[in-house]
Order: sequence, then structure tokens, then C-alpha cells
Amino acid sequence: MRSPRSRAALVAVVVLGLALGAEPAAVASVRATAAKASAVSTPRWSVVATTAVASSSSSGPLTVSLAADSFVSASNNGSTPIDGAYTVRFVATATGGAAAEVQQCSATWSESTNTCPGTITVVASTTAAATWTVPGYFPPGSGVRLRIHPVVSAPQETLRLSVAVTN
Amino acid sequence: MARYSTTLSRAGGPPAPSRRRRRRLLGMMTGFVGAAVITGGVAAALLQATANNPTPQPVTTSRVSLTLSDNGAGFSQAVSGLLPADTVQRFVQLTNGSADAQNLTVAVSANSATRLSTDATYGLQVAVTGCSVAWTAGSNTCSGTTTPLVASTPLAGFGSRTLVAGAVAANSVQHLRVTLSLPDQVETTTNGTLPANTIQSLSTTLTYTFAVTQRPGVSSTG
Repeated sequence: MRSPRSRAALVAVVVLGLALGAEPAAVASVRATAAKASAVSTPRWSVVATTAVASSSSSGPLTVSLAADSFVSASNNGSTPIDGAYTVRFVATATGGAAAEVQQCSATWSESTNTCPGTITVVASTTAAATWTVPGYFPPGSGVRLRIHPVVSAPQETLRLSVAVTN
Repeated sequence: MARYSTTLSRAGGPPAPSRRRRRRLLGMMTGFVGAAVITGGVAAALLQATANNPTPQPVTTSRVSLTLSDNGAGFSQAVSGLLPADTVQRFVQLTNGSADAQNLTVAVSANSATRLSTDATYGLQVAVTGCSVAWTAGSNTCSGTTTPLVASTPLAGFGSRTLVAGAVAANSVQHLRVTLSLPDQVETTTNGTLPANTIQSLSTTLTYTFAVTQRPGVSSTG
């Protein structure tokens, strides 16, 4: 049978244990929130040279024969309009040392007669790359018609036309 | 107890009580004492007094609430075609519907990890400006006093930012302009092919979360 002293000691131990093991009072923190979502996106600026109508997935340089004059399009296949804030640069390279020009008409080409009722400007040539001054404002899907003009007909040669757009 | 007594004297001297009589007397005395104790205890239990407030004391709890509304298109309008060096403003209002709120904050998070939200240099930047009166969203003007609340900060690592430190005035309205911007940067697309690690053709959804918390607990007599 326990002595009173040992019983008292046991009670003290139990009480101390309960005190030490007790959880501290939780700190209450009531909070109110209000939230809303908003979509954000960036566009794509891109110009490609194509013989047909360009699509958003069109890519790669264009290769055309230098047998005779031919007409191509520099098309905006990105998702943002191209204007004077962008720099468009053509690089034309030909095989076999052939010489050719990339030409722009100030008016609309008469492709059936291969004539320009306005002024012809050389925007690039096989002898020098050139920065093209974008004539106006081109929304996605629109383009400019250009003529590939071999200086001397070279049926066995081709011209490779590359376009780079910088914002 | 005084009812009972022992005859103590008689002419010629008291006769000694018999043993049986003594025991009986002792028993009776014990019984009477016990009864008196019991009776006294029951009487004590029946004596009780109570006191209460005649008028019930009403007790109510406070409320912390916050309401977000668009000023003009606000956050409901998506930001599309954001180009380098572009900035876009959106206008919202926050109404504090409580008297015990403090520490108004804003957190901005993206639902997808793209360069818009992960690039601290060329990704999205967020700034918040307050106006003492409602912003004129259409013209991006404040006819009162403007207060920069959050300087332009990269979305990458934006976390939570404080708009109002300390107590937020009861029923107050915060008129906010949130400015989203994309730092100027140059990219070249060649023959329709985007450059590596491009900022072009990216999209994400930003969630703006505003919050207030309750004031600290106090002990008062009022």
C-alpha cells in the first residue's frame, strides 16, 4: 500500500505531465479574400515568302527557278499586324553564281503582262541583303506581292529567298 | 434535547440509575443528536439564494469581408497580343465590409509556368497604384490623389504584397489600377520559325487574390 508521501508524489507527476502535454491555445486568424482570374497572351510576328497563300504554319525559305520572272508573296502569317515598327529583311541567294533581284511595285503588279504601273524598287538582290521598308500596315493574313527578276535568265539555277522579322 | 432530563435529586439522595436505563438514555441521546444533525443539514440544503441580470446580455461576433468589383472592364477583360514594351491597365475596386480588418494584401499567380511568369527579367511585371477616388478607366486618369502601392515587380516571385499596412478603415473602398507590362526585348522570327526560348505565342491566366485579416484580439471593458 502506497505511503501518503508516494501518493502525493504520483499526483504531482500526473499534474505536471498534463500541464506539459497540454496544447497551447490556438491563435485565431480570420481572413477574407476576393479573387479574379484574367487571361494574358503574347502574339507571334512572322513574315514568310510563298508562291501560294501563306498559312500560320508556313515556314522555311522559298526556292524559285531563275528561268524567268516569277511572282511571290511576302505574307504576314503571324498573329499581330506588321508595320513600320518592325524590321523585315530579305536575303536572296542563288545557285551557280546567278544574279537576281527581288522587286517591289509601288502600285499593283500586272502579273499577266509582267509590268508595274508604278515605280519598281529593288528590296533585295543576290549581291546584297536588304532591309525592306514595310509599305503600310499589314494585318495577319495579308501580304505584299514581289517579283523575282533574274538579271540573266538561268533556267538551271534557283534563288532561295529568306525573310526575317524583328520587333 | 432539553425535553429530556435525568432526575438528579430526591430527598434522601438520588437512586443510581440501572444499567439498562443508562444505555437506553444514551441511545436516545445519540438518536436525537443525529436527527438534529440531519435535520439541520437538510435545512441548510434548502436555503439558497440566486442572482441574475434581469435584462439578457446580447453578444455578437464581428465579420471580416472583402468585395472585388471591376471598374470598367476590369479583370474580366483579357490581355491579348501583349508586345514587348507594352503596358496594359486594369481598374478594380475593393470594398472592405468590416470594421475589424487589417493588412490588405494582393497576390498574383499564374496557372501555368511559362516565360511570362518565370522570367524575372523579360517576363510579366505587375504594379498597383491607388487613387483617392474612383479611376476614370477610359482615360486612365485619377481626379484625386494617386498613391503608388506596389512598384513594378516581376511576376516571377511576386508572392504577396502589402497594399495597406495596419488597420483598413471600416467600409472603405480601395480604388486600384493594376498595370501589367512586358519589358522591351528584341526577337527575330526567320522564315516563320520562332527563336528559341521565345516570348512570342505564350499564354497564361493570372489570378489576382486580395486579402484582409482580422485585427489582433483585445481585452476591454467596453
